[in-house]
Amino acid sequence: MTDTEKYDRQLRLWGEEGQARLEKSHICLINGTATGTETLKNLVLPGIGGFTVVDGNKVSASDLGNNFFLDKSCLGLSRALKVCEFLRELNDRVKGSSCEEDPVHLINEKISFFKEFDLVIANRLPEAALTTLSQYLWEHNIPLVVVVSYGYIGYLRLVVPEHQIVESKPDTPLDDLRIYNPFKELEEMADQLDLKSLNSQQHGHVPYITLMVHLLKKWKVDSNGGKMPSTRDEKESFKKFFISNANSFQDEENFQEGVKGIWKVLQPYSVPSDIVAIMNDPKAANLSSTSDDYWVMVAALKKFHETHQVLPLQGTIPDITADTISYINLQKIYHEKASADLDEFTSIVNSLVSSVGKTLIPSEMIKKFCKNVRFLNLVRYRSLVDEFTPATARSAYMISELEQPDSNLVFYIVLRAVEKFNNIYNRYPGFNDEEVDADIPLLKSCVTSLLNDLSIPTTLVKDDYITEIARYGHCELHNIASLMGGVTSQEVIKLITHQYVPLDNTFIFNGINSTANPYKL
Amino acid sequence: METSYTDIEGRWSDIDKVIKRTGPFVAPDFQPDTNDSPSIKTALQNDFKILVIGAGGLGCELLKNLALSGFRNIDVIDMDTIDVSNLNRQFLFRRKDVGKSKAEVAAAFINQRVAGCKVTPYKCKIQDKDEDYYRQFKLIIAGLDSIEARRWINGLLVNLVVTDTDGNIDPLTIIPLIDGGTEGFKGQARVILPRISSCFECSLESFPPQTTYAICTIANTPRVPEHCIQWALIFGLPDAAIPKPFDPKVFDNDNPVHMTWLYETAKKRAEDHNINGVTYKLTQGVAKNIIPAIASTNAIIAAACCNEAFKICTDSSGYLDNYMMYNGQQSVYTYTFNYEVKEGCAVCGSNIVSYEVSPKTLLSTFLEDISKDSRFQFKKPSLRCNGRNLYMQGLLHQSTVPNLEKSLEDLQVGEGDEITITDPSLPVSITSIILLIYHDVESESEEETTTTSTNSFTPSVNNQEVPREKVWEKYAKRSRERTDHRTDQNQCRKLINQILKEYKAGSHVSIEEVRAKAIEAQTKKIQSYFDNEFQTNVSIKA
Repeated sequence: MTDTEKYDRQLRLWGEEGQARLEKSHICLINGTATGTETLKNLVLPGIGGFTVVDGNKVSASDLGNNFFLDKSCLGLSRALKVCEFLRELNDRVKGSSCEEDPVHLINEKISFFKEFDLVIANRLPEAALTTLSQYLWEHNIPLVVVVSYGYIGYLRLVVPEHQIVESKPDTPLDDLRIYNPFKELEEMADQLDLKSLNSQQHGHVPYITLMVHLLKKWKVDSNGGKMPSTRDEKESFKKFFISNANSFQDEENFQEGVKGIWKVLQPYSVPSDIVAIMNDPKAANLSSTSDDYWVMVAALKKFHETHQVLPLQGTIPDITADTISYINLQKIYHEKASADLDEFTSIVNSLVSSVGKTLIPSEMIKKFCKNVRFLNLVRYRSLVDEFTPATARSAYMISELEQPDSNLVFYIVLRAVEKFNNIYNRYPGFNDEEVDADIPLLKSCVTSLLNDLSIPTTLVKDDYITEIARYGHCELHNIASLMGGVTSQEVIKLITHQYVPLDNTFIFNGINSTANPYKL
Repeated sequence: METSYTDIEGRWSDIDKVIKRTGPFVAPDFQPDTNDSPSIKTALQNDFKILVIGAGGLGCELLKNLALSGFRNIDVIDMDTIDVSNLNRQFLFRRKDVGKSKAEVAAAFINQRVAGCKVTPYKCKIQDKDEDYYRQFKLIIAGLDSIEARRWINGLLVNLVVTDTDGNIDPLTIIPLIDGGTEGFKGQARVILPRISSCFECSLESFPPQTTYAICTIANTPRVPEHCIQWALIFGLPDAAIPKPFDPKVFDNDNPVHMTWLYETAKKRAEDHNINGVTYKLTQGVAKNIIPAIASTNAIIAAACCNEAFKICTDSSGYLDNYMMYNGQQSVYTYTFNYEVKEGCAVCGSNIVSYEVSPKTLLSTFLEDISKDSRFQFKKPSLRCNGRNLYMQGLLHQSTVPNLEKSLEDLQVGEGDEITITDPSLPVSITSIILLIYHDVESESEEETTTTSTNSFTPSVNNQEVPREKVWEKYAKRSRERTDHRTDQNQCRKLINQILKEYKAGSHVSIEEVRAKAIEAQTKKIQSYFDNEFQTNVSIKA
């Protein structure tokens, strides 16, 4: 059982199911820097199962200037050990452990260490070690999150082969009302409506859904040869007809509600194109005993759609003007139809499951899937290797982005050049006060060589950006670390709970003017 | 101020990089610190005093961020005490602290953890402090969940700005207000430079009033569980016929006994009407107007606010100009833009707004309309016109009640007259003036049916605002920037309206297709504007 009182404000977002997923997860943090601990703070507080900090460093004076999960007493001690101790204080339900080994050494000598985690957050890893780790995690289907705070700039990259989402929770979900293509029970109910027999109180309280289904049928039979309104004139004519059935349009809110949504209602039913794409995915066509439950249910959805030309009904209606009894009756009709659709969908799922020899999918899961079919989502990320290899890098896309004035992608280029610099000189540009000026041209040549590799014109990266990054000298400002920790933890929560839609795939924050952009690299 | 604390060598080496070195993006006044003359560092540590309002989800983050940005003199004001449900994000509090003052526990934690930092807590309302108190701060950061408190501090800071007889602002009297707010995965951070940029009041309409349900629905035609909970609150509570285990006059929504009674009463009401879905959790949510909150979002917004505070105090970089929105629900969406000064703003503008209305409108209807108008959000307005009381609160209330059923015309309110409105929701000693423009009754209804959906993009079509010439000219540069921004906006509005027309006309076009078309046709800037304005407006309203 979770702590419903303490977690109330977050349970209202991701529910007990999302919480259970969080509480089962064990997350690894590489390097207990300010960015790292700020990220973990936001995951320990809402109650992940556990975390492990891997860090070979000892606590230095500069850690005390930007890391909140250390204090004076920690100086000279293991940073992994101490941040773990301070972070554990935030939530007694969370298990924390530390590993005092150098992460690069661990990656090169004992990479299977990382197999035990549900997600790995990497911070301040050199490019070679990062690439090795990312390939290993990719093969084991473990999400990798790379986060960097560098002066006033932040960088975040998510890497997962495939991320499936049932509850994408759109901000403003459209209702599934089927007014354009009513199901039998809805149509029958609307047929029984006799507006003339109603007194004025009743007339103003017929739900607009019933009104609309009833009047559309009447209008198309009487005035349009049985066809739905499709041209602008036909729609206008139906709208006039709809309004003309009101006793007093100004006073009848149900009619006003009908007119408000009329243009959307008069659009033919169609399955959203991204759902069509998921249904047509090869993974749904080639099921086997090792297929994920998600793909079995997508395959079942495809069958359902082939039979009925519609998706299973969601079965909920918004709060609309109506008297209690009409509203409850209408609600019941939608609910019953949705239950019938769910039953049929469940039996398709069960027959698919048995035909491929998989274990049964829990009915609660099928129900959740069925209720959310219009909001399914799927994200397939590009691997870091594909991004880093010049032959597969998205150079044309980067050029078009870099051509925009003040593009934040320029920081991505310079930060990658910083890694090249570190690879060559074994230090970061501008780290020492006396080397800042000398490092600028060295960093510039790293930028030039990277751009040449990627076939991007060197004129697209102005010197100012190189000078600014050299000025930062690999510093980590607490505010940027905390902001990136916030962004990163939001994305980790989305990846772990499989709710909402995570970033695909790179995010750059520009703390100079507080702008930010997502990029698909 | 006392500064006995000496830091360990190298503690601030990360911050030193940006205050000891100059770069291409620093502010014009930036003078890098040297070892001999560390004036920025000295100012951060000794001279600047910062005020944090609120020690909740944002407040805890703000205090930590300021302390680790090198600030040492920080005040924090919060009147609240710690609740168990705060512990999932307010990381300076532990279970043993429940019931204690947020400001005091937060200050003690920071002072203990971050050596050298001195946070002074005040457990009181912001209204308990006077102007002299607020004058001592270099800047103020607000992490509040109340619109009313933000309006109050905003109004006060605008009033603190001193102008000479020529209208020139004394820059030393400007105290920047940095304001953050979050809800679930979304939030916003903004910088308000009183009398220079737009103020909180300018943007009031972007904080729509709380959703309310019609009383007659709650009483007569309940349909959803929320109606039943509202019924229990509004009708059940004062009803002597319904037994309750407490005195209804002291109903406390933090008391589980009271909340259980409310839940059971709402559940009974729902069962009587065959309504499903009344749960204890929903009852709490409705009764307390609970807003979901998580640590991550507070971290993002508080850090964005403190990053601006640090840059304003050090000049070591450019600035946020002046509003950033963040939404992490679907991928990561951010939008940074200049929120324009609102002409006719009751606080920083001329406070005159023209309002079109029919002379036949009853005063009661007029009152209801302006209270619902998101530009004013009046709570208990008092109205005066031509030296006469139209409608008053308090002692004079009874004498003005008969006016409610009279039309504006009958009350001798003429075209072009100004109605002066005072309201407790307006900041200290500020009034709002509505300039009446009469129009015909006939044309009204027609307009409404033909322009319903486009109206949402240009809400000022019917209610043109009076220009505010004086201030306009003074900030020529800023004004030019705003014009650029406005051109973008207008272009965007034009495009959206055009597409919307097509969308209304054609049967075959879906929202997705329209959106794709718009994105194809215009730049990225417009894409974000589109997502922002079009999707929310159309999918709800069209």
